[in-house]
Amino acid sequence: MPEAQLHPTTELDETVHQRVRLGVLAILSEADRATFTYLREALDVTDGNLSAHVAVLAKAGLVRIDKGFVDNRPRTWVRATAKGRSTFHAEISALSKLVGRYRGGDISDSR
Amino acid sequence: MVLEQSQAKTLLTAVENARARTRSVLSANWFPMILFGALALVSVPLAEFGSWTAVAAFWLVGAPLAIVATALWYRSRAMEIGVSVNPWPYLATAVAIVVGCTATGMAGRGGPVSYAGPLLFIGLGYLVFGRLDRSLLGAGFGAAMTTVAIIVFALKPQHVYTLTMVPFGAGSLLLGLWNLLQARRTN
Repeated sequence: MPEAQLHPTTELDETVHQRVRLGVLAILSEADRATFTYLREALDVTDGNLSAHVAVLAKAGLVRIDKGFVDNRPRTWVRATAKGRSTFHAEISALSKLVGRYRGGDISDSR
Repeated sequence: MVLEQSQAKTLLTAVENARARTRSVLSANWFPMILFGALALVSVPLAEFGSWTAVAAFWLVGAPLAIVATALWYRSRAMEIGVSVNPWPYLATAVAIVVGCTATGMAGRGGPVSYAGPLLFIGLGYLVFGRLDRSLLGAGFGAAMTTVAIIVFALKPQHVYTLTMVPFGAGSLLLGLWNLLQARRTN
């Protein structure tokens, strides 16, 4: 099937297509880097939940984790990689296409 | 994969909210706006009642110190709030403004280029800052200063330093205070 005819859901990325993981990449698409604490509060999730999702993103090469110390207290910074930024924009584009398609009346899922 | 319309919409809304909140947190720039606005206003009496050498010395010492203070402020703020932008485009723009102002100020030899040139670099620099911050107010201010630079270059009025630095200083100070008010409201 030519790419132009594929249903937009085929463009969704399984790794990114999750509220917390998409939220992490959304924040990092605006910022150069964010602390674990900022992400946790902004996304309203628990430490364990965020850790698990950030680990998935890091394993996929979408974010990089830098650990350091500020005033002798540990601080974890997360930043998006180039792959992470492009994957995020592709996901948003696919989601927008989907919403547009639904608005157009086609709600079938071809997958 | 079955994806409901409401799910896609909810995801997109959540993403936009997260981005907007981060943009809002990162848009605080009141410290450099107030600092450079105040420096510009303080330099006016030096030009009116002192000498051009005093004005040049004031900026050659004051501008680099203000840039360092601004960099430290952004760094400390990033540590406090836990999120930061890439500093290099900002630093490169600040250095370009200082180099451009110094070069045109000296090359103009007291002529129109020596007062319109620095203001042109300041205006263009603020335009870039406005673009980086996605601030319409900041970009508009930069465009206004660029226009003033072109006007004073064409008209060559008397008391040109005061005529250019008062609107720049007052404008930067007011924008900084407005931004500070917005930042306090967000926090």
